[in-house]
Amino acid sequence: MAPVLDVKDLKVSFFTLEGEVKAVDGVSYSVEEGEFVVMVGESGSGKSVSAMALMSLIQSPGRILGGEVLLEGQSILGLDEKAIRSVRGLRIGMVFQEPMTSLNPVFTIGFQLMEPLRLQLGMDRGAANNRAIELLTMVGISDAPLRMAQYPYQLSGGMRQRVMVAIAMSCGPKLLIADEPTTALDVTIQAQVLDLIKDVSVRTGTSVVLITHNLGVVARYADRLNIMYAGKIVESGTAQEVFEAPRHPYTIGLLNSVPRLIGQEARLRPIMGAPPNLARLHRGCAFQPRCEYAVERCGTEVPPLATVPLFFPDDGDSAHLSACWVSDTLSPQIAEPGKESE
Amino acid sequence: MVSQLVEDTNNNLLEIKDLQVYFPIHEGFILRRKVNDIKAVDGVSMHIKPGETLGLVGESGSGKTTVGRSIVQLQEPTAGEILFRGQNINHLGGRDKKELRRKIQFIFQDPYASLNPRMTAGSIVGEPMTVNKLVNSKGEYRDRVAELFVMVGLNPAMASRYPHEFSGGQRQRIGVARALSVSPELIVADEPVSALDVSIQAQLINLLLDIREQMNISFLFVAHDLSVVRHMADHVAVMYLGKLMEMGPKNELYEDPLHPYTRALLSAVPVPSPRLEMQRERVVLEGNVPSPINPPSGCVFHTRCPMAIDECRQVVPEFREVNPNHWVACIRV
Repeated sequence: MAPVLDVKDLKVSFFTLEGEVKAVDGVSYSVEEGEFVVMVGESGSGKSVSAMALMSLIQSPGRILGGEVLLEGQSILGLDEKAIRSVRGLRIGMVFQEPMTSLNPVFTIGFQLMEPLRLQLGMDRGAANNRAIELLTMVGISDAPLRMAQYPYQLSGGMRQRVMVAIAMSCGPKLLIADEPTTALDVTIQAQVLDLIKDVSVRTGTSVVLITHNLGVVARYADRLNIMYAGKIVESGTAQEVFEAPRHPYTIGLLNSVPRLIGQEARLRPIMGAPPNLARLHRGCAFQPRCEYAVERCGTEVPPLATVPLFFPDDGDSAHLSACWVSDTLSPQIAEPGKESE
Repeated sequence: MVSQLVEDTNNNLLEIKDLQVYFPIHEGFILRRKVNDIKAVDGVSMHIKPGETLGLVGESGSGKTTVGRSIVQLQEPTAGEILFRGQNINHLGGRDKKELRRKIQFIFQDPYASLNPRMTAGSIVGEPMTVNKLVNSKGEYRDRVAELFVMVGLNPAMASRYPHEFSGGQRQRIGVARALSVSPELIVADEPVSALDVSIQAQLINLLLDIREQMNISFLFVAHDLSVVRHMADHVAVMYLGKLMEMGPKNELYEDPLHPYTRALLSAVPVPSPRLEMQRERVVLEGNVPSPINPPSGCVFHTRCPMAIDECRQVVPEFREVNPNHWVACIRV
């Protein structure tokens, strides 16, 4: 069966005074029906831009330079404004990072929930109202009829994010994109919201693309992980493969940088240096200047995203990919979480 | 030196006794009157020994930042005492106050907002030394600034640059260098790494650990991230709605948390391993943090507590020592 979302060689650049910034540079991935895919990367890695590009939400000075985005087999890249509107909200739902700013402060929760129902699905007021109450109940908001009449400022951050999930799910999209949905929330609320997204996805069969900078957050939920660095996917695999047998030096470095809550406490082993300036990338692998495994070839040739042998072959037939010249020589490093890797 | 004149009985560098910080809420325009208080900090006691790091954790609105700000005198306490080497810091004036402010330094959360954009990195780091008259000549000043830059892992040649020319991690290093410039005895660090990317965050944690080891400085490390605190702290205190829930030695608190809130908080922290995540027992708290204007009666946590009984609604639990140095405020423990 065709995947719900198929992204092929997506390229997005921003044309700034400093020159062309290749924010997304040839990203390809696919999302199967009901799959929970997580895009992980630090600031500037292109994870958000790549998601925005799916719905043609890139603004000047940014431009989508190439690639293909297939939603259920239909190309949605380069659709005109009118056509793309039937994709946004209706077929792809989106939850943004800031629950404080992504709801309109001058309209009630009910109005904002009913708007997509009436515009996209053509429901009348009564039907939209009933459906909105259903949706609020689904995302775990009690007293739904009362909340419908309230304004965003009357809700806490966690509640607002629940409302955002309800709005995103209102038209029954095939795909839900959540861009750092819990970054602004407290840990106990973060757990609630992520549980909710996972639960909604399982119940409705909706596929999810979750974007985050925090590797730790996603171990519980992810089916598949795509690790991004400097506009490219550098590693891709099932959660177990990526967390327990990472094959890209950047992923290994990230995992060694995460402070651990469980297991032996060890000194963190951070990645040296800082992410590169995307306007001034050199010819080779973008991670080479920070990489402790780099060889000569890394400085001159960009490694392709290639299949590496599975470490957990029983894990299904999902491939493990890594964009690194020395992947084969990297043995799985993180056998026991929290332990020093040597 | 003021501090040495006072006899130190219990060897605490910092001691906080029953601290209360209330923010008044006013109503009306002409007949402005106080109608209520936000009880940001409501009866908190804790202490830090020389060279020790206390981690102070809690969710937003728990009052952890207000405790930190009270210690550096950015916030006037409503009641209670803050003793630094046995001396009440709120009764100091003039030169003593200035000297105290030198000894207690602050590292801010947001590296983008806490550096003056019109000052060079060098003068940001050097200014506290001039203010406190710690250097005698221009040459000594320059040497000292260069030394501090090297100490925090920055190139001294960057001293003439302005904050906007630095990345977030580098700016936070400048903030650390500024705090170190006056040889403080205690550093209050308010979420010093939470605005940084994971790989940069790890670099900064290691830097702070090195500094603590080399210079024997005490830290109050305020943070919401329990895994970060685990790497930094010797003791950990957990706050909820202005009150301490639990306080104890780090290993005891992480391996055998007693308070139901600590347990829930620990179990909500994600672990980067699918296998461990599946094995972990999770307590997901229902609902939200109540308003600190009208905190719940009895134990403030009872509205979300999975173990709450009727009595919790009426009785304010005493903060008692259940093991040596391990304190907890819960009647069900």
